Amino acid sequence: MTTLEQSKKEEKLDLLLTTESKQRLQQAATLAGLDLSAFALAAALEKADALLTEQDTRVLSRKQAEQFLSLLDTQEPTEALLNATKRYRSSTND
Amino acid sequence: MTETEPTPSKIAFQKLSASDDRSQFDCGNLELNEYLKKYARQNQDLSLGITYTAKREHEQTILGFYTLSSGQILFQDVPKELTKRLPRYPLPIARIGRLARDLSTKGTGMGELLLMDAFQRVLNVSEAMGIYGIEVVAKDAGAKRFYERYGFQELLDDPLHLFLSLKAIRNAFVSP
Ligand SMILES: CC(C)(COP(=O)(O)OP(=O)(O)OC[C@H]1O[C@@H](n2cnc3c(N)ncnc32)[C@H](O)[C@@H]1OP(=O)(O)O)[C@@H](O)C(=O)NCCC(=O)NCCS
Repeated sequence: MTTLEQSKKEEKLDLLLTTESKQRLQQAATLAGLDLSAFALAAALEKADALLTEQDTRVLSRKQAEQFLSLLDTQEPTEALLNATKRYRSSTND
Repeated sequence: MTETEPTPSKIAFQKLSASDDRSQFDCGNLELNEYLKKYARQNQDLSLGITYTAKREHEQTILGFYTLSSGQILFQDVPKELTKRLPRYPLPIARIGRLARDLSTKGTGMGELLLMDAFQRVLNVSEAMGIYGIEVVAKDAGAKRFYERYGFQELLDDPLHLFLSLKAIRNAFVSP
C-alpha cells in the first residue's frame, strides 16, 4: 500500500527535530539508499497506512469467525427492534 | 385519550455541519461530549466516519448524535475454502461509533431513534457495499443492555464487542 508518491509534490511539511534524531534518520536513510526526506516520507506513510488499516480492520479468531458467520444468518428481529422501527417511522418524515 | 392530542414535532436527522452549535450538548459523558465538540468534524473531513445529528424539525438544538464508519473483518487461521465461499473477503461491515443523546431527552426513547436512523442509513447502502452486519463496541454494561434489546450479540471472548446481522434489520424495516 505504501508507495512513494509518484504524482506531483505540491505540499510541504516542516518539522523540528533534535540533532540526534536527525543523525539517526540520516544514518538509516543512507542504509536504505534514500535521501533523508524520501526516507522520512516513506517511513511516515508506512506507519500511517498501518494505523489506518488497523482502525478499520477487525481480526477474528477461528472460533469467533464461525460464531460471527452464524450470527450474520440471524433473520428474526427482536420484538424491541420491530417496535422501534415503527416508532422511528412515525417520529420522522422518512 | 383526548381526541386531538397535539402531534409531537418530528425528529430530523442530518449530517453534522460546520454551522451546528455543539457547545451546549451534554450526554453525561465527558469524553463523548468532547468528541462531538472537537473531533467529530475533523474525523468527517478526514473520511474517518460521518456524524449524524438529531434535532426537532425547524430547531437547532442537537438532541443526539452517532457516528457511522465502514470497516472490515479478517479471519485468522481460517481455511481458504471457507473464505472462498464468502461473497466478499475481507467481509465489509458498518460500524456505529459513538452514539449519545442529550440528557434533556432522557426517557423519551431518543437513543432508540438514533439507533434506528443508523440502521436505516446502513440498509440504504448495504447492497451496493456488500455489508452483512453492523458492529458496535459498547462503552459499558449499561450500553450493552441497550444494544442487546435490538438483537446485538456479543462476540466470543470479547463481551463488549457486539454484532447484528443486516438480515434481521432488513426484516424489521420491511415489516408493515
Ligand atoms: C446508551 C444511550 C444512548 C441510550 O439512550 P436512551 O435515550 O437513554 O435510551 P432510550 O430511551 O432510547 O431507551 C430505549 C430502551 O432501552 C432501554 N435502555 C436504555 N438504556 C439502558 C441501559 N443502560 N440498560 C438497560 N436498558 C436500557 C430503555 O429502558 C428503553 O426501553 P423501554 O422502551 O422498554 O423503556 C444513552 O444512555 C446515552 O446517550 N448514554 C450516554 C452515552 C453512552 O454511554 N453511549 C453509549 C455509547 S457505546
